This record gives sequence, structure tokens and C-alpha cells, in this order.
Amino acid sequence: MPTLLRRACLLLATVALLGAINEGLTRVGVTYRNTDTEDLGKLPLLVRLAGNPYNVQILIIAGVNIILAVSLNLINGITGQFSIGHAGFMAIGGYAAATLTKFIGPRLIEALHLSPLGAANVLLPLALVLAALAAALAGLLVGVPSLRLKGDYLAIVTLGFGEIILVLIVNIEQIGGARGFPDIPLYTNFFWVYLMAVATVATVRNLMMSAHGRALMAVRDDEVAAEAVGINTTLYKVAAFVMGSAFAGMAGALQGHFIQSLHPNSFSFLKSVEVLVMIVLGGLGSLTGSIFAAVSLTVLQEVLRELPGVMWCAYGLVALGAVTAYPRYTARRPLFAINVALAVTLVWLLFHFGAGELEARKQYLRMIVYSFMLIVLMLQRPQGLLGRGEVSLDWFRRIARRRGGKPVAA
Amino acid sequence: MRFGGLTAVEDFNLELAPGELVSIIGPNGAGKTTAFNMLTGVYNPTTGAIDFAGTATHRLPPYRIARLGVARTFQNIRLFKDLSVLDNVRAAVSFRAGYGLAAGMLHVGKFARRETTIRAEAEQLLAIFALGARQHELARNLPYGDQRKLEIVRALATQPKLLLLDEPTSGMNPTETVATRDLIAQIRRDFDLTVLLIEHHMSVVMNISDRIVVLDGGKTIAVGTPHEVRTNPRVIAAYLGEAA
Repeated sequence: MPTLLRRACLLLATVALLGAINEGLTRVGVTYRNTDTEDLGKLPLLVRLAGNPYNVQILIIAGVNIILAVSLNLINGITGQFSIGHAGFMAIGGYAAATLTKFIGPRLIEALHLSPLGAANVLLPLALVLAALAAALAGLLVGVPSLRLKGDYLAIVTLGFGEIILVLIVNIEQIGGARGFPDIPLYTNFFWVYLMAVATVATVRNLMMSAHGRALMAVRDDEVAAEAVGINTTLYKVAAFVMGSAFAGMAGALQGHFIQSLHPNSFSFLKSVEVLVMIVLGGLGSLTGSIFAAVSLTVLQEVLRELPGVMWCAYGLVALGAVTAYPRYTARRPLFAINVALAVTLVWLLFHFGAGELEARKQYLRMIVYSFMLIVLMLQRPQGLLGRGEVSLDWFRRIARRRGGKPVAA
Repeated sequence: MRFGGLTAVEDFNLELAPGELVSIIGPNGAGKTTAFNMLTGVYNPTTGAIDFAGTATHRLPPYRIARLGVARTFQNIRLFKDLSVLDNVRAAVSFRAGYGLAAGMLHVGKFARRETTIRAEAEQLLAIFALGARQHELARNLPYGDQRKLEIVRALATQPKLLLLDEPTSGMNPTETVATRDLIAQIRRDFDLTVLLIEHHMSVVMNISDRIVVLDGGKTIAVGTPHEVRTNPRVIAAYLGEAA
């Protein structure tokens, strides 16, 4: 079958490419670690960037966030069901996977005489499958009763579900309870995270471009009309929800085997909101939007951490200037008021405490500015960065055609 | 059909012959759309039964009834607004996609072959109704008349045996109304359909109906040919008010 062959080739190429990058990252990392601190500046820029374990960590978390954002977008943006419990499914996947690798893993390694590298490459896929299945099962249990109803019941149920899962985890001593699940083996690397990210994106994209994907989007746009053209809306809603949950479970497993511990706190409601922010920001229903937002928000959060305190005040002044200079802003009274308030507060803080104090308090400022940027974006582009559009080769082609096809004015 | 204390439709009794075009008329609130909603499974009738080509449908969910061959349009247009015109039609074919979820996710198996067929089918339908040139536009960007038309095309894409049209000419000017009337006649002829029509424009109803059902206050007050209905004193009373 030619399509099957083409798919297989594509898969092999992806695996090879990701494997090569992974190998490169490992080698560069070794070079970086073996270089004395004072000699680091002499390394080539790429080596300095890619060798820094902190940067690699951001890269991997960004990959996990891509999986989370794209899978939540399948539920919220493509099928139009409002789920706010994604972190709960992540937790289920993470804990299920960690239980496997920690309690059954050593026995498997012994029985199969696995090398450390072999252990990672055998146990992690197993753990991912288990994580996806466990989260999918939970998704089914949550989804079936709440998705049979029309309306926003899913939001309430998923919100409650997220909390229930946390309470359950806290009360199970065997998986660490409130102290968290410690000493999970480090199995996740660039290769596995991005292989799973590519798989998630490819699956959801293919689905969107199939009859079943059109059925999902029809459910989103008008449930009554979708039923009227023969679409089993309940079935499709549950299917999308279960699939989204499974991917979230996988993301949880990847994160657990990277950070090497799991803690109930990291799967709180805030984590669900973080993912929600990503998809709203990127554009509900846009895959490339989700990917872009997942990566840029992960990076932004880290960059803001590094920014010196004075920068916040500079930011406040720039924002104020931009706002007053831009007529569309001034027309939006609430935004204008918020911006003025923020700018004034920041300048006052600077004079009152001095830059040193601000520096000490930047952890709090970081979240203020982060949320402020989100407010500005939502007011300016309520549909998200990309709306429902996608950035694709086709998109570039269309732009090129429009440029080229434009009639020349005489 | 009762909603709490309100009886929206009662003693509604209608038998359609294959190929027939029957109109339901009546003042606002007479229960016309409620009758449609019962026929398409949006509401389950409180009492009574509905039989479609030998299948009892009054307890079936809407999508099952649609798959049996009952398609409808809506009084206030309900398109998939953020899908393209083409995808609106293709969404109506998705229940007979012919490949499973896994094939859809991986684009393998019957996917390519079936998608080609589905697309050709949808494009052909759009071409018949002169919407082919607009097939890549979002449904929300179509002019009003075309949106109404697209809704009919979408209904036809499910390959119905019975088509329910809920006020297809509402909000249209006289020219558009005549065009829609001709369109309905054409559809009925070309697609070999039975049509049930809710309509307020008497010029349309009197012109194309084989039979007319008149509802008032949830009750059927007259059934008959256009001529019989036009001269029925109860119908005249319902429409023009009782003579003093």
C-alpha cells in the first residue's frame, strides 16, 4: 500500500532526525559540563545555548506543553467542549507511569537483562502506553456522564475531577501522598518528548482533515444541526475528550520521568489554567497557534524570571507610551485604565523602594506582568493569535500568490 | 407534545405519500416548528407515535432519524459557521464516511479513496446549486440567501427521503422568494423526495403544495388541497380573525 509506505518512511525520517538532534544535544551537554566556568565564554554560541542544561530543560518542558496544549485544543477548540481539568489527566498519566517504572521496572530490567539505555527505551514506551490508557479510562468515566448533556456541565465536572484526583493522590501513601512521588528514573529525553509531540500534532491534524474531524468541528459550531445531519454528537464529544485525556496522560508521564518526581501541587487547577491560557492565546481550534503559544509562554515565563527589577518599570513606561500613542487602545477604556494603573504603580514602587527592593520582589512582579500581557492580548485579539487559521506551507503559498497576483497600479 | 402545562401540539395526524409535497401553515405559535422537532427527534412526543418507512422513530435520537433519511433545515439558519461551504456539506456526509477513527487519525486504509469520493460528491451538489465558486469561503461570510441555500444543500447531502424545510423563504424579498419556490420544486423533482414545508408566503404554499395542513393553537384545523384550504371558513377565521 503506497500511503502506508509513505507514512512509514515519514515516521522513520522523523525518528532519525529527532534521534540525531538528541545525540547532538547529549554530546554538546557533555562538552558544556566538562568545560571550566571561566572558559564557557570561549565555546561557540550554539554549544553554549544547546549545552546549557537549563536551556535543555526549557526545551523539554516546552515539548510537554505542546502535547498538553494541542490535546486540550482537540477538546476545547476543535470539539467546542469546555474542559478545565487537563492537569488531572496529566496527574493520572504521570502517577500511573511512575508506578510502573518504579515498582515493576526494576524487575523487568532484571528479567530482560536491560542496559541503562535499553531500560529507558523499553520502559518509557511501556509507561507512556499505560499513562495514555489510564488517563483515557479516567476521561471515559468523566466524559460519558457529563458529555451526554448539552451545555457547560463538562467545565464543572472536570473542575471537580481535577480536585478529586489531587485528594486521592495525597491520600495514597504508596505513591508518596502529599510529599510527592520521589526518585523516578530519568527516562525522558529530547527524543521521546518531541517524538510524542510530533505524534500528537500529526494525529490531531490528520483527524481535523478527515470526516471525523469535520464532525467534531460541526459539533462545536452547532450541536443541534450536527445531530440533524446524522452526527452522533455524544459519541464524538466523548471520543475527542478521551483522546485529549490520553495525550495529557502521556504528557504527565513524560514530565514525571524528566523532573524525576511528581508532586500533587504541580497538577493543581493552576496547571489546567496555564494550558487553557496557551490554547486561548494561540487561537482555539488552531494547532499551529497552540504550538506557538505553548513554546512562547514556556520561554516567556523563564525569560521574565531573569529580567532585572528595573526592567518592569521601563516596561510600565513603554506600555503607557504605547497605549496613549495607539488610538485603538484609548478607545478601550478598561484597558487604558489598567495600563495607566500598572504603569503608575510600577513607577511609584521604583521611587518608594528603589531598584534593589524591586529586584528582590520580582517573583511577584513576574506574574503581574505575565497576566497583564495576557489581558492586553485578549483585548486586542479576542480570537487568539491565529484565530482558527493555521500557519502552513499552503498559507505561505497563498500570501505569495496574493503578492504576485496583485494588479500593478498605473 | 406538552411542555409542562403548555400543550404545543396535539392530535397532529399526518400521513405522507412518497414524492408528495405537503405544507404546514398556521399563525405564529401554532406548533409548526414543534411538529418538525418531533419528527426529527429533537423532542420526543409526550404521547403518540411516528413511523418513517416502517421504522418507529419517535423514541430515536435525532442523528438516527437523520441517518434513516429525514433531513431538515432550520427556521433561523443553523450552519456550521466557522467551517467552509464545502466542509458544511462534507460534515453532512461524515456519518457515512466509510472509514474508522483510526484511519482518520493516520490517513491510511480507505481514507484517501473515500475522501476523494466524498469531496466529489459534495462539490457536485454545490455545483448544482451554483455555490461551487464559493466553496472555500466560510459559511458565516455567505450572503443571507446563499446561507439558506447552503442549509438545503447540507440537508440533501445526507441523502434524505424526506426533506423538512422550516420557512425557507423567511427574510427574503419577492424575487428571492420566487427563486426559492422554483428551487424547492426542482429539488423535489431531481432528488425524488418527499417534502414537508413550513411556509408563511402564501404565493409559495398555494403554488407548489399537493396538500396543506393548517395548524392553530397546536390543533389541526384543516387538511386539504390548496383550493380546499383557501376556501375553508375555519382557516379564514384563524388567519383573518372571526367575523364580527
